[in-house]
Amino acid sequence: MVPLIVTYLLFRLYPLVFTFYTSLLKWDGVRTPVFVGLDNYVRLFNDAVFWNALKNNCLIAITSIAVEIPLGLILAYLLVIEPGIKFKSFFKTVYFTPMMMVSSALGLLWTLLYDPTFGPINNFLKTIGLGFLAREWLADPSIAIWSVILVIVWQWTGWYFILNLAEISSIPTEIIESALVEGASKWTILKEIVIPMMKSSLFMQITLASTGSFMYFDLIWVMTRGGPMHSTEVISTWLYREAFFYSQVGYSSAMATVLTVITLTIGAYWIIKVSKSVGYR
Amino acid sequence: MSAIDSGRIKRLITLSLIYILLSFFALIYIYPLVWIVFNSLKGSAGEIFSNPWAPPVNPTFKNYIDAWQIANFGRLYINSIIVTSATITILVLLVSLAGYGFSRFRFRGRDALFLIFVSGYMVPSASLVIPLYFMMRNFGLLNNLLGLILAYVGLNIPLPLFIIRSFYNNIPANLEEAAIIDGASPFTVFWEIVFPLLRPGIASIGIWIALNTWNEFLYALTFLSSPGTFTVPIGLLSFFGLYANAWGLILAGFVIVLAPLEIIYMIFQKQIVRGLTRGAIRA
Repeated sequence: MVPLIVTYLLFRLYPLVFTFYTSLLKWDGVRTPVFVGLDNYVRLFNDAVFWNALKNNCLIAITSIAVEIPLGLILAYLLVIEPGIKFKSFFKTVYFTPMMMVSSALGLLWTLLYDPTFGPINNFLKTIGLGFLAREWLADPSIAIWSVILVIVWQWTGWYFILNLAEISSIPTEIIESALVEGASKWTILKEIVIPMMKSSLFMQITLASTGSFMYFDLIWVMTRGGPMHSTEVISTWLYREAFFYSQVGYSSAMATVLTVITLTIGAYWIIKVSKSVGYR
Repeated sequence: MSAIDSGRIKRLITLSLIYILLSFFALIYIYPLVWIVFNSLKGSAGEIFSNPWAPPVNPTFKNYIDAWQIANFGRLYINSIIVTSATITILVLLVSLAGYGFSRFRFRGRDALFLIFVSGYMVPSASLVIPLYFMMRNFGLLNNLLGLILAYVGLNIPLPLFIIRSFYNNIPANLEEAAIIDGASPFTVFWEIVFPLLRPGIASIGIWIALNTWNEFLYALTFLSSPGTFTVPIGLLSFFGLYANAWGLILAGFVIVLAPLEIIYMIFQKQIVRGLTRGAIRA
Protein backbone atom coordinates (compact mmCIF):
# COMPACT_ATOMS: atom_id res chain seq x y z
CA MET A 1 0.00 0.00 0.00
CA VAL A 2 2.88 2.35 0.72
CA PRO A 3 4.07 2.55 -2.91
CA LEU A 4 0.54 3.44 -4.00
CA ILE A 5 0.28 6.17 -1.38
CA VAL A 6 3.65 7.60 -2.37
CA THR A 7 2.78 7.62 -6.08
CA TYR A 8 -0.55 9.21 -5.39
CA LEU A 9 0.94 11.80 -3.07
CA LEU A 10 3.64 12.73 -5.54
CA PHE A 11 1.66 12.79 -8.78
CA ARG A 12 -1.86 13.72 -7.68
CA LEU A 13 -2.08 15.33 -4.25
CA TYR A 14 1.08 17.39 -4.32
CA PRO A 15 0.21 18.85 -7.76
CA LEU A 16 -3.27 19.67 -6.47
CA VAL A 17 -1.85 21.66 -3.56
CA PHE A 18 0.79 23.21 -5.81
CA THR A 19 -1.88 24.37 -8.24
CA PHE A 20 -3.86 26.03 -5.49
CA TYR A 21 -0.75 27.70 -4.09
CA THR A 22 0.37 28.87 -7.54
CA SER A 23 -3.08 30.36 -8.15
CA LEU A 24 -2.21 32.96 -5.50
CA LEU A 25 0.93 34.03 -7.35
CA LYS A 26 1.78 36.20 -10.28
CA TRP A 27 4.20 33.92 -12.07
CA ASP A 28 5.37 33.40 -15.64
CA GLY A 29 7.05 30.09 -14.83
CA VAL A 30 10.57 31.56 -15.04
CA ARG A 31 11.05 34.65 -12.90
CA THR A 32 10.55 34.87 -9.15
CA PRO A 33 6.84 34.60 -8.34
CA VAL A 34 5.06 37.42 -6.53
CA PHE A 35 2.31 36.73 -4.04
CA VAL A 36 -0.84 38.52 -5.18
CA GLY A 37 -3.57 36.94 -3.05
CA LEU A 38 -6.86 36.53 -4.87
CA ASP A 39 -5.96 38.82 -7.81
CA ASN A 40 -6.00 35.94 -10.28
CA TYR A 41 -9.51 35.01 -9.20
CA VAL A 42 -10.70 38.59 -9.65
CA ARG A 43 -9.17 38.59 -13.11
CA LEU A 44 -10.89 35.29 -13.85
CA PHE A 45 -14.21 36.73 -12.81
CA ASN A 46 -13.77 39.53 -15.35
CA ASP A 47 -12.46 37.36 -18.18
CA ALA A 48 -15.08 37.07 -20.94
CA VAL A 49 -13.22 34.18 -22.56
CA PHE A 50 -13.40 32.23 -19.32
CA TRP A 51 -17.16 32.74 -19.04
CA ASN A 52 -17.64 31.67 -22.61
CA ALA A 53 -15.53 28.57 -21.97
CA LEU A 54 -17.63 27.79 -18.92
CA LYS A 55 -20.76 28.22 -21.03
CA ASN A 56 -19.38 25.82 -23.63
CA ASN A 57 -18.61 23.23 -20.95
CA CYS A 58 -22.21 23.58 -19.77
CA LEU A 59 -23.52 23.18 -23.33
CA ILE A 60 -21.53 19.97 -23.71
CA ALA A 61 -22.92 18.72 -20.40
CA ILE A 62 -26.49 19.64 -21.30
CA THR A 63 -26.36 17.92 -24.70
CA SER A 64 -24.89 14.80 -23.15
CA ILE A 65 -27.81 14.70 -20.69
CA ALA A 66 -30.52 15.82 -23.09
CA VAL A 67 -29.39 14.04 -26.25
CA GLU A 68 -26.77 11.31 -25.79
CA ILE A 69 -28.25 9.54 -22.78
CA PRO A 70 -31.91 9.59 -23.96
CA LEU A 71 -30.90 8.54 -27.47
CA GLY A 72 -28.76 5.70 -26.14
CA LEU A 73 -31.57 4.67 -23.82
CA ILE A 74 -34.21 4.63 -26.57
CA LEU A 75 -32.03 2.69 -29.01
CA ALA A 76 -31.25 0.15 -26.29
CA TYR A 77 -34.90 -0.11 -25.26
CA LEU A 78 -35.96 -0.78 -28.85
CA LEU A 79 -33.56 -3.71 -29.08
CA VAL A 80 -34.91 -5.21 -25.86
CA ILE A 81 -38.63 -4.58 -26.36
CA GLU A 82 -38.68 -5.86 -29.96
CA PRO A 83 -37.28 -9.36 -29.68
CA GLY A 84 -37.88 -9.85 -33.42
CA ILE A 85 -35.19 -7.35 -34.44
CA LYS A 86 -32.43 -9.02 -36.42
CA PHE A 87 -28.72 -8.11 -36.61
CA LYS A 88 -28.71 -7.10 -32.93
CA SER A 89 -25.07 -7.93 -32.42
CA PHE A 90 -24.22 -6.02 -35.59
CA PHE A 91 -25.84 -2.86 -34.22
CA LYS A 92 -24.18 -3.36 -30.85
CA THR A 93 -20.76 -3.73 -32.46
CA VAL A 94 -21.16 -0.73 -34.73
CA TYR A 95 -22.50 1.73 -32.15
CA PHE A 96 -19.54 1.09 -29.89
CA THR A 97 -16.82 1.65 -32.52
CA PRO A 98 -16.12 5.34 -31.63
CA MET A 99 -15.22 4.25 -28.08
CA MET A 100 -12.30 2.34 -29.58
CA MET A 101 -10.96 5.31 -31.51
CA VAL A 102 -7.92 7.25 -30.41
CA SER A 103 -9.51 10.61 -29.65
CA SER A 104 -6.95 12.66 -31.57
CA ALA A 105 -7.60 10.53 -34.67
CA LEU A 106 -11.34 10.92 -34.17
CA GLY A 107 -11.05 14.71 -33.99
CA LEU A 108 -8.77 14.92 -37.02
CA LEU A 109 -11.10 12.65 -38.98
CA TRP A 110 -13.96 15.07 -38.35
CA THR A 111 -11.77 18.01 -39.30
CA LEU A 112 -11.56 16.46 -42.75
CA LEU A 113 -15.26 15.53 -42.85
CA TYR A 114 -16.09 19.16 -42.02
CA ASP A 115 -13.64 20.62 -44.54
CA PRO A 116 -15.56 23.40 -46.33
CA THR A 117 -14.11 22.80 -49.80
CA PHE A 118 -13.30 19.12 -50.05
CA GLY A 119 -15.09 17.65 -47.06
CA PRO A 120 -17.74 14.99 -47.70
CA ILE A 121 -20.37 16.76 -45.58
CA ASN A 122 -20.59 19.89 -47.71
CA ASN A 123 -20.07 17.71 -50.74
CA PHE A 124 -23.05 15.58 -49.81
CA LEU A 125 -25.25 18.61 -49.16
CA LYS A 126 -24.39 20.00 -52.60
CA THR A 127 -25.03 16.65 -54.28
CA ILE A 128 -28.54 16.34 -52.86
CA GLY A 129 -29.36 19.95 -53.78
CA LEU A 130 -29.03 21.39 -50.30
CA GLY A 131 -25.91 23.35 -51.13
CA PHE A 132 -27.26 26.40 -49.32
CA LEU A 133 -26.80 24.49 -46.06
CA ALA A 134 -23.07 24.04 -46.68
CA ARG A 135 -21.06 25.88 -44.05
CA GLU A 136 -17.57 26.55 -42.82
CA TRP A 137 -18.39 24.20 -39.96
CA LEU A 138 -15.34 24.76 -37.82
CA ALA A 139 -14.27 28.19 -39.06
CA ASP A 140 -17.51 30.07 -38.49
CA PRO A 141 -17.54 31.31 -34.88
CA SER A 142 -21.32 31.32 -34.72
CA ILE A 143 -21.68 27.58 -35.35
CA ALA A 144 -18.27 26.06 -34.56
CA ILE A 145 -19.22 25.00 -31.04
CA TRP A 146 -22.26 23.13 -32.36
CA SER A 147 -20.12 21.38 -34.96
CA VAL A 148 -17.85 20.24 -32.14
CA ILE A 149 -20.77 19.17 -29.97
CA LEU A 150 -22.19 17.12 -32.85
CA VAL A 151 -18.93 15.13 -32.92
CA ILE A 152 -19.17 14.61 -29.16
CA VAL A 153 -22.72 13.32 -29.54
CA TRP A 154 -21.54 11.01 -32.32
CA GLN A 155 -18.71 9.79 -30.12
CA TRP A 156 -20.71 9.09 -26.95
CA THR A 157 -24.24 8.01 -27.94
CA GLY A 158 -23.00 4.48 -28.57
CA TRP A 159 -21.48 4.35 -25.10
CA TYR A 160 -24.80 5.22 -23.45
CA PHE A 161 -26.51 2.73 -25.75
CA ILE A 162 -24.27 -0.08 -24.47
CA LEU A 163 -24.57 1.00 -20.82
CA ASN A 164 -28.35 1.21 -20.97
CA LEU A 165 -28.63 -2.02 -22.90
CA ALA A 166 -26.86 -3.79 -20.04
CA GLU A 167 -29.12 -2.08 -17.51
CA ILE A 168 -32.39 -2.80 -19.32
CA SER A 169 -31.37 -6.39 -19.98
CA SER A 170 -30.88 -6.89 -16.26
CA ILE A 171 -34.56 -6.09 -15.59
CA PRO A 172 -36.37 -9.44 -15.22
CA THR A 173 -38.16 -10.17 -18.51
CA GLU A 174 -41.33 -11.34 -16.71
CA ILE A 175 -41.99 -7.80 -15.50
CA ILE A 176 -41.96 -6.39 -19.01
CA GLU A 177 -43.79 -9.38 -20.49
CA SER A 178 -46.64 -9.29 -17.99
CA ALA A 179 -47.07 -5.57 -18.60
CA LEU A 180 -47.29 -6.29 -22.34
CA VAL A 181 -49.89 -8.99 -21.71
CA GLU A 182 -51.94 -6.54 -19.68
CA GLY A 183 -51.98 -4.32 -22.74
CA ALA A 184 -49.59 -1.59 -21.66
CA SER A 185 -48.05 0.27 -24.58
CA LYS A 186 -44.32 0.12 -25.10
CA TRP A 187 -44.04 3.80 -24.40
CA THR A 188 -45.88 3.36 -21.08
CA ILE A 189 -43.61 0.46 -20.13
CA LEU A 190 -40.54 2.58 -20.80
CA LYS A 191 -41.93 5.47 -18.78
CA GLU A 192 -43.60 3.63 -15.92
CA ILE A 193 -41.42 0.54 -15.46
CA VAL A 194 -38.04 0.70 -17.16
CA ILE A 195 -36.97 4.25 -16.31
CA PRO A 196 -38.06 4.10 -12.65
CA MET A 197 -36.15 0.82 -12.25
CA MET A 198 -33.06 2.42 -13.75
CA LYS A 199 -33.23 5.55 -11.70
CA SER A 200 -29.98 5.11 -9.79
CA SER A 201 -28.09 4.07 -12.92
CA LEU A 202 -29.42 7.03 -14.89
CA PHE A 203 -28.52 9.36 -12.08
CA MET A 204 -24.99 7.97 -12.13
CA GLN A 205 -24.81 8.34 -15.92
CA ILE A 206 -25.89 11.97 -15.64
CA THR A 207 -23.29 12.64 -12.95
CA LEU A 208 -20.46 11.08 -14.93
CA ALA A 209 -21.60 12.73 -18.18
CA SER A 210 -21.53 16.12 -16.47
CA THR A 211 -18.11 15.73 -14.89
CA GLY A 212 -16.80 14.27 -18.13
CA SER A 213 -18.05 17.34 -19.99
CA PHE A 214 -15.90 19.55 -17.79
CA MET A 215 -12.83 17.40 -18.45
CA TYR A 216 -13.03 17.68 -22.24
CA PHE A 217 -9.77 18.61 -23.94
CA ASP A 218 -8.40 16.30 -26.66
CA LEU A 219 -11.09 16.54 -29.28
CA ILE A 220 -11.46 20.31 -29.08
CA TRP A 221 -7.73 20.94 -29.05
CA VAL A 222 -7.28 18.79 -32.12
CA MET A 223 -10.19 20.25 -34.08
CA THR A 224 -10.15 23.98 -33.28
CA ARG A 225 -7.64 24.70 -30.47
CA GLY A 226 -10.48 26.69 -28.90
CA GLY A 227 -10.94 28.97 -31.89
CA PRO A 228 -12.09 30.65 -34.05
CA MET A 229 -12.09 33.71 -31.81
CA HIS A 230 -12.36 31.55 -28.66
CA SER A 231 -15.80 30.39 -29.76
CA THR A 232 -15.08 26.72 -28.98
CA GLU A 233 -12.93 27.34 -25.94
CA VAL A 234 -13.58 25.14 -22.89
CA ILE A 235 -11.97 25.71 -19.50
CA SER A 236 -9.23 23.14 -20.02
CA THR A 237 -8.17 24.50 -23.43
CA TRP A 238 -8.17 28.07 -22.15
CA LEU A 239 -6.08 27.25 -19.09
CA TYR A 240 -3.69 25.25 -21.26
CA ARG A 241 -3.21 28.18 -23.62
CA GLU A 242 -2.78 30.66 -20.79
CA ALA A 243 -0.13 28.49 -19.14
CA PHE A 244 1.86 27.14 -22.06
CA PHE A 245 1.44 29.83 -24.73
CA TYR A 246 1.04 33.03 -22.72
CA SER A 247 3.13 32.02 -19.66
CA GLN A 248 0.33 33.08 -17.32
CA VAL A 249 1.06 30.25 -14.90
CA GLY A 250 -0.53 31.82 -11.84
CA TYR A 251 -3.66 32.87 -13.68
CA SER A 252 -3.96 29.49 -15.34
CA SER A 253 -3.63 27.79 -11.95
CA ALA A 254 -6.56 29.81 -10.66
CA MET A 255 -8.59 28.51 -13.55
CA ALA A 256 -7.44 24.95 -12.83
CA THR A 257 -8.48 25.34 -9.20
CA VAL A 258 -11.94 26.56 -10.17
CA LEU A 259 -12.26 23.67 -12.62
CA THR A 260 -11.36 21.18 -9.89
CA VAL A 261 -13.92 22.68 -7.53
CA ILE A 262 -16.59 22.39 -10.22
CA THR A 263 -15.91 18.73 -11.03
CA LEU A 264 -15.54 17.72 -7.39
CA THR A 265 -18.87 19.39 -6.58
CA ILE A 266 -20.73 17.73 -9.42
CA GLY A 267 -18.94 14.44 -8.79
CA ALA A 268 -19.64 14.43 -5.05
CA TYR A 269 -22.58 12.07 -5.59
CA TRP A 270 -20.32 9.56 -7.33
CA ILE A 271 -17.58 9.89 -4.72
CA ILE A 272 -19.94 9.33 -1.80
CA LYS A 273 -21.62 6.40 -3.48
CA VAL A 274 -18.35 4.77 -4.41
CA SER A 275 -16.64 5.21 -1.07
CA LYS A 276 -19.67 3.79 0.75
CA SER A 277 -20.23 0.85 -1.57
CA VAL A 278 -19.14 -2.46 -0.15
CA GLY A 279 -19.72 -4.97 -2.85
CA TYR A 280 -19.71 -4.90 -6.56
CA ARG A 281 -22.67 -6.13 -8.53
CA MET B 1 -59.91 -5.03 -44.38
CA SER B 2 -60.13 -7.14 -41.23
CA ALA B 3 -58.87 -6.04 -37.83
CA ILE B 4 -56.09 -8.62 -37.94
CA ASP B 5 -54.79 -7.26 -41.22
CA SER B 6 -54.64 -3.67 -40.01
CA GLY B 7 -52.88 -4.88 -36.85
CA ARG B 8 -50.29 -6.61 -39.00
CA ILE B 9 -49.81 -3.59 -41.16
CA LYS B 10 -49.35 -1.39 -38.13
CA ARG B 11 -46.78 -3.83 -36.77
CA LEU B 12 -44.98 -3.90 -40.10
CA ILE B 13 -44.77 -0.11 -40.14
CA THR B 14 -43.47 -0.02 -36.56
CA LEU B 15 -40.82 -2.60 -37.34
CA SER B 16 -39.68 -0.77 -40.49
CA LEU B 17 -39.44 2.49 -38.59
CA ILE B 18 -37.28 0.84 -35.95
CA TYR B 19 -35.05 -0.70 -38.61
CA ILE B 20 -34.72 2.66 -40.35
CA LEU B 21 -33.74 4.33 -37.08
CA LEU B 22 -31.24 1.63 -36.14
CA SER B 23 -29.75 1.56 -39.64
CA PHE B 24 -29.49 5.33 -39.78
CA PHE B 25 -27.32 5.28 -36.68
CA ALA B 26 -25.34 2.32 -37.96
CA LEU B 27 -24.72 4.25 -41.17
CA ILE B 28 -23.41 7.40 -39.49
CA TYR B 29 -20.93 5.25 -37.58
CA ILE B 30 -19.86 3.09 -40.47
CA TYR B 31 -19.79 5.61 -43.26
CA PRO B 32 -16.85 7.73 -42.07
CA LEU B 33 -14.82 4.55 -41.67
CA VAL B 34 -15.68 3.34 -45.15
CA TRP B 35 -14.87 6.79 -46.48
CA ILE B 36 -11.41 6.71 -44.87
CA VAL B 37 -10.59 3.26 -46.18
CA PHE B 38 -11.84 3.94 -49.74
CA ASN B 39 -9.99 7.21 -50.15
CA SER B 40 -6.80 6.05 -48.47
CA LEU B 41 -6.50 3.48 -51.26
CA LYS B 42 -6.75 6.06 -54.04
CA GLY B 43 -3.56 6.91 -55.85
CA SER B 44 -4.19 10.61 -56.59
CA ALA B 45 -5.60 13.54 -54.69
CA GLY B 46 -7.70 14.35 -57.74
CA GLU B 47 -9.61 11.10 -57.38
CA ILE B 48 -10.26 11.77 -53.67
CA PHE B 49 -11.62 15.24 -54.29
CA SER B 50 -13.52 14.68 -57.52
CA ASN B 51 -15.23 11.48 -56.46
CA PRO B 52 -15.13 11.18 -52.67
CA TRP B 53 -17.98 8.67 -52.37
CA ALA B 54 -16.84 6.01 -54.78
CA PRO B 55 -14.50 3.10 -54.09
CA PRO B 56 -11.00 3.47 -55.58
CA VAL B 57 -10.61 2.67 -59.27
CA ASN B 58 -7.09 1.29 -58.98
CA PRO B 59 -6.56 0.51 -55.29
CA THR B 60 -2.96 1.08 -54.18
CA PHE B 61 -1.15 0.80 -50.87
CA LYS B 62 1.28 3.55 -51.79
CA ASN B 63 -0.27 5.99 -49.28
CA TYR B 64 0.20 3.44 -46.52
CA ILE B 65 3.84 2.84 -47.27
CA ASP B 66 4.55 6.57 -47.50
CA ALA B 67 2.56 7.47 -44.39
CA TRP B 68 4.23 4.72 -42.38
CA GLN B 69 7.67 6.08 -43.27
CA ILE B 70 6.97 9.80 -43.05
CA ALA B 71 5.14 9.72 -39.72
CA ASN B 72 7.50 7.05 -38.39
CA PHE B 73 4.60 4.94 -37.17
CA GLY B 74 6.97 2.14 -36.21
CA ARG B 75 8.56 4.40 -33.59
CA LEU B 76 5.17 5.75 -32.44
CA TYR B 77 3.82 2.25 -31.95
CA ILE B 78 6.89 1.13 -30.02
CA ASN B 79 6.65 4.18 -27.73
CA SER B 80 2.95 3.69 -27.13
CA ILE B 81 3.41 -0.02 -26.45
CA ILE B 82 6.22 0.70 -23.95
CA VAL B 83 4.20 3.34 -22.12
CA THR B 84 0.97 1.35 -22.06
CA SER B 85 2.45 -1.97 -20.98
CA ALA B 86 4.62 -0.39 -18.28
CA THR B 87 1.68 1.60 -16.94
CA ILE B 88 -0.55 -1.48 -16.82
CA THR B 89 2.08 -3.62 -15.12
CA ILE B 90 2.91 -1.07 -12.42
CA LEU B 91 -0.70 -0.11 -11.78
CA VAL B 92 -2.08 -3.63 -11.61
CA LEU B 93 0.62 -4.53 -9.11
CA LEU B 94 0.16 -1.44 -6.94
CA VAL B 95 -3.61 -1.45 -7.07
CA SER B 96 -4.13 -5.15 -6.40
CA LEU B 97 -1.85 -5.04 -3.35
CA ALA B 98 -3.42 -1.87 -1.99
CA GLY B 99 -6.94 -3.06 -2.79
CA TYR B 100 -6.24 -6.14 -0.70
CA GLY B 101 -5.24 -3.89 2.18
CA PHE B 102 -8.34 -1.73 1.85
CA SER B 103 -10.58 -4.76 1.75
CA ARG B 104 -9.04 -7.03 4.38
CA PHE B 105 -7.50 -4.84 7.06
CA ARG B 106 -9.13 -2.41 9.40
CA PHE B 107 -6.84 0.46 10.25
CA ARG B 108 -7.33 3.98 11.44
CA GLY B 109 -8.28 6.37 8.68
CA ARG B 110 -8.86 3.58 6.18
CA ASP B 111 -12.14 4.91 4.87
CA ALA B 112 -10.89 8.49 4.74
CA LEU B 113 -7.82 7.35 2.80
CA PHE B 114 -9.96 5.41 0.37
CA LEU B 115 -12.18 8.45 -0.09
CA ILE B 116 -9.15 10.59 -0.94
CA PHE B 117 -7.96 8.03 -3.45
CA VAL B 118 -11.24 7.62 -5.33
CA SER B 119 -11.97 11.37 -5.27
CA GLY B 120 -9.03 11.69 -7.62
CA TYR B 121 -11.31 10.37 -10.35
CA MET B 122 -13.17 13.67 -10.21
CA VAL B 123 -10.07 15.84 -10.63
CA PRO B 124 -9.57 16.71 -14.33
CA SER B 125 -6.14 15.85 -15.66
CA ALA B 126 -5.94 19.40 -17.08
CA SER B 127 -6.14 20.77 -13.54
CA LEU B 128 -2.81 19.16 -12.65
CA VAL B 129 -0.95 19.59 -15.91
CA ILE B 130 0.92 22.73 -14.82
CA PRO B 131 2.60 21.39 -11.67
CA LEU B 132 3.26 18.06 -13.38
CA TYR B 133 5.02 19.88 -16.20
CA PHE B 134 7.31 21.72 -13.76
CA MET B 135 7.94 18.52 -11.80
CA MET B 136 8.95 16.64 -14.93
CA ARG B 137 11.17 19.54 -15.96
CA ASN B 138 12.91 19.60 -12.58
CA PHE B 139 13.42 15.82 -12.59
CA GLY B 140 14.74 15.98 -16.16
CA LEU B 141 11.86 13.79 -17.28
CA LEU B 142 10.53 15.91 -20.13
CA ASN B 143 10.85 14.08 -23.44
CA ASN B 144 11.25 10.91 -21.45
CA LEU B 145 8.83 7.99 -21.54
CA LEU B 146 9.51 7.27 -17.87
CA GLY B 147 8.05 10.63 -16.90
CA LEU B 148 4.94 9.92 -18.92
CA ILE B 149 4.58 6.47 -17.35
CA LEU B 150 4.82 7.92 -13.83
CA ALA B 151 2.19 10.55 -14.63
CA TYR B 152 -0.10 7.88 -16.11
CA VAL B 153 0.29 5.63 -13.07
CA GLY B 154 -0.75 8.50 -10.81
CA LEU B 155 -3.58 9.53 -13.11
CA ASN B 156 -5.17 6.09 -13.32
CA ILE B 157 -5.16 5.01 -9.68
CA PRO B 158 -8.72 5.93 -8.57
CA LEU B 159 -11.14 3.86 -10.63
CA PRO B 160 -9.06 0.64 -10.82
CA LEU B 161 -8.52 0.80 -7.07
CA PHE B 162 -12.25 1.05 -6.51
CA ILE B 163 -13.00 -1.82 -8.91
CA ILE B 164 -10.35 -4.11 -7.43
CA ARG B 165 -11.45 -3.42 -3.87
CA SER B 166 -15.00 -4.36 -4.85
CA PHE B 167 -13.72 -7.65 -6.21
CA TYR B 168 -11.85 -8.38 -2.99
CA ASN B 169 -14.97 -7.53 -1.00
CA ASN B 170 -16.89 -10.13 -2.95
CA ILE B 171 -14.37 -12.85 -2.13
CA PRO B 172 -15.39 -14.31 1.24
CA ALA B 173 -12.55 -13.82 3.73
CA ASN B 174 -13.27 -17.14 5.46
CA LEU B 175 -12.00 -18.87 2.32
CA GLU B 176 -8.54 -17.53 3.09
CA GLU B 177 -8.85 -18.12 6.83
CA ALA B 178 -9.73 -21.76 6.26
CA ALA B 179 -6.68 -22.23 4.06
CA ILE B 180 -4.41 -20.60 6.63
CA ILE B 181 -5.77 -22.91 9.33
CA ASP B 182 -5.00 -25.79 6.99
CA GLY B 183 -1.41 -24.61 7.06
CA ALA B 184 -1.07 -22.84 3.71
CA SER B 185 1.46 -20.00 3.45
CA PRO B 186 0.15 -16.47 2.78
CA PHE B 187 1.73 -16.60 -0.65
CA THR B 188 -0.03 -19.87 -1.49
CA VAL B 189 -3.29 -18.45 -0.20
CA PHE B 190 -3.01 -15.41 -2.44
CA TRP B 191 -1.80 -17.27 -5.49
CA GLU B 192 -4.08 -20.31 -5.34
CA ILE B 193 -7.25 -18.96 -3.76
CA VAL B 194 -7.53 -15.19 -4.07
CA PHE B 195 -5.86 -14.60 -7.42
CA PRO B 196 -8.05 -16.92 -9.52
CA LEU B 197 -11.15 -15.18 -8.14
CA LEU B 198 -9.58 -11.80 -8.77
CA ARG B 199 -8.69 -12.51 -12.39
CA PRO B 200 -11.84 -11.03 -13.98
CA GLY B 201 -11.23 -7.86 -11.97
CA ILE B 202 -7.65 -7.62 -13.15
CA ALA B 203 -8.79 -8.18 -16.73
CA SER B 204 -11.31 -5.36 -16.35
CA ILE B 205 -8.90 -2.81 -14.98
CA GLY B 206 -6.24 -3.93 -17.43
CA ILE B 207 -8.51 -3.16 -20.37
CA TRP B 208 -9.61 0.13 -18.85
CA ILE B 209 -6.05 1.26 -18.14
CA ALA B 210 -4.84 0.10 -21.55
CA LEU B 211 -7.40 2.15 -23.43
CA ASN B 212 -6.97 5.22 -21.25
CA THR B 213 -3.21 5.14 -21.58
CA TRP B 214 -3.15 4.39 -25.29
CA ASN B 215 -5.51 7.32 -25.86
CA GLU B 216 -3.97 9.82 -23.49
CA PHE B 217 -3.34 13.10 -25.19
CA LEU B 218 -2.89 16.05 -22.83
CA TYR B 219 0.13 14.88 -20.83
CA ALA B 220 1.85 13.44 -23.88
CA LEU B 221 1.29 16.75 -25.69
CA THR B 222 2.74 18.68 -22.76
CA PHE B 223 5.71 16.53 -21.76
CA LEU B 224 6.92 15.37 -25.16
CA SER B 225 8.31 17.70 -27.78
CA SER B 226 10.94 15.67 -29.57
CA PRO B 227 9.41 13.43 -32.27
CA GLY B 228 11.45 10.40 -31.23
CA THR B 229 9.48 10.18 -27.99
CA PHE B 230 6.01 10.78 -29.45
CA THR B 231 3.22 8.34 -28.73
CA VAL B 232 0.60 7.46 -31.34
CA PRO B 233 -2.01 10.19 -30.54
CA ILE B 234 0.38 13.13 -30.72
CA GLY B 235 2.51 11.58 -33.45
CA LEU B 236 -0.62 11.54 -35.58
CA LEU B 237 -1.38 15.16 -34.69
CA SER B 238 2.08 16.30 -35.70
CA PHE B 239 1.88 14.29 -38.93
CA PHE B 240 -1.46 15.93 -39.66
CA GLY B 241 -0.01 19.35 -38.98
CA LEU B 242 2.72 18.83 -41.58
CA TYR B 243 0.72 17.06 -44.30
CA ALA B 244 -2.78 18.45 -43.80
CA ASN B 245 -3.23 18.90 -47.56
CA ALA B 246 -2.10 15.43 -48.55
CA TRP B 247 -5.40 13.71 -47.78
CA GLY B 248 -4.34 10.35 -49.14
CA LEU B 249 -1.44 10.19 -46.70
CA ILE B 250 -3.51 11.47 -43.79
CA LEU B 251 -6.32 9.00 -44.41
CA ALA B 252 -3.85 6.12 -44.62
CA GLY B 253 -2.44 7.39 -41.31
CA PHE B 254 -5.93 7.23 -39.80
CA VAL B 255 -6.31 3.63 -40.86
CA ILE B 256 -2.89 2.77 -39.40
CA VAL B 257 -3.95 4.33 -36.08
CA LEU B 258 -7.57 3.18 -35.93
CA ALA B 259 -7.51 -0.29 -37.46
CA PRO B 260 -5.53 -2.21 -34.80
CA LEU B 261 -7.84 -1.18 -31.95
CA GLU B 262 -10.98 -1.82 -33.97
CA ILE B 263 -9.70 -5.26 -34.95
CA ILE B 264 -8.82 -6.12 -31.36
CA TYR B 265 -12.29 -4.92 -30.42
CA MET B 266 -13.97 -7.18 -32.99
CA ILE B 267 -12.13 -10.17 -31.54
CA PHE B 268 -12.51 -9.45 -27.82
CA GLN B 269 -15.75 -7.47 -27.95
CA LYS B 270 -17.35 -9.14 -24.92
CA GLN B 271 -14.37 -8.75 -22.63
CA ILE B 272 -13.68 -5.18 -23.70
CA VAL B 273 -17.25 -3.97 -23.29
CA ARG B 274 -17.49 -5.65 -19.90
CA GLY B 275 -14.16 -4.21 -18.82
CA LEU B 276 -15.06 -0.67 -19.79
CA THR B 277 -18.61 -0.62 -18.46
CA ARG B 278 -17.74 -2.23 -15.14
CA GLY B 279 -16.83 0.97 -13.35
CA ALA B 280 -19.68 2.91 -14.91
CA ILE B 281 -22.72 0.69 -14.57
CA ARG B 282 -23.28 0.75 -10.88
CA ALA B 283 -21.19 2.09 -8.08
